[in-house]
Amino acid sequence: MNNINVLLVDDEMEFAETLAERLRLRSFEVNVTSRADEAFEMLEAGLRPDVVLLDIKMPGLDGLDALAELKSRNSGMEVILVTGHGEAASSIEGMKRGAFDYLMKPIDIAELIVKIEQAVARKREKEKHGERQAGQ
Amino acid sequence: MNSLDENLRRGQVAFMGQIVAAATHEFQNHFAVIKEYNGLIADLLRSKQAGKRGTIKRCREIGQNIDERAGQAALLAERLNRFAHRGDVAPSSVKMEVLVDDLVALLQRSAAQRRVSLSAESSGGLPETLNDAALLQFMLGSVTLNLLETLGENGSIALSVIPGAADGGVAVEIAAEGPAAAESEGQESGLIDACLQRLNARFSSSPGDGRLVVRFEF
Repeated sequence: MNNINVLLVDDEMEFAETLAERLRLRSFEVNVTSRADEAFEMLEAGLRPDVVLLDIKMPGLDGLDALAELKSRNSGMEVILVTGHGEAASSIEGMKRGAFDYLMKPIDIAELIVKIEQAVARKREKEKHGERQAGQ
Repeated sequence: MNSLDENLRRGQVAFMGQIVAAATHEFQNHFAVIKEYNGLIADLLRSKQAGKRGTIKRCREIGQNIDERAGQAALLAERLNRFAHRGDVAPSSVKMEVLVDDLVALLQRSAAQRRVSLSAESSGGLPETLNDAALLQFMLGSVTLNLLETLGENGSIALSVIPGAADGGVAVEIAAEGPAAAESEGQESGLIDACLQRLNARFSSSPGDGRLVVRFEF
């Protein structure tokens, strides 16, 4: 699956930048930000990620609120939550609110890539479905 | 055990829980970063660029980053260990600068979540005091957490360890500055009063325009 655009939102910048470097080595296009409000600005500036990897615990805006805001700006965009130890309850709540899936830190890159590809497949399926409905 | 003792005990247990939760979250972050760095080295060595000078240089840099991260995790473990052992014996000889320094480091995550800067300062060379170290860190930590709750984004809290008014005494000043976010719903004043009494400490506060300084004399 080519041309997958990922937006990584995590206040732990060393983690985010290193993960981004690993994804780029695998031909993903990756943008990184440490703040949810910066992610919104990037979307306003025209960034169209297929998948957002969103840390659930960040300074400022709560991850679940950020998820709601991201989905309200682009309901087709898939969000995978990234959580620290002991935050599974928030992640499950996030999935109820529209997140595609969640991953616990430390992340397994192979598992992450599978989830990204699944999320992109769902996004593209929804887009095709939308186009079919618009054409009828 | 009377109800005040019981409340104090509950407060201390809850405070320790808060510290442990924040510290383990930080450990998780350190491990996550180290794991990604390690994965990146493996990725680079498997890539077509593996033998190139730039790749070798990058791998060396990553190795240094891993070393730094491991060092930060070890320091956090050391601070958490000291924090936990302060309850072993009471009273014990307390080096206030170290206690406050550890406390500030262990509360950094709570401060960062609220985007408030938290720092520790010391004039250095202060005498050790004989006191209940676990109760001391609970009281100073609780007051700091209460102040954190009341401060908005970009606020700051500084804990300073300075010579006390009495000869050979030590004082801790907590200065909070910045926009107010909310009224505190923290520890009831009865608990702090009980701590002050048991620690044989005196408390004063001086509120100013957008700034509050609380002072504890030991």
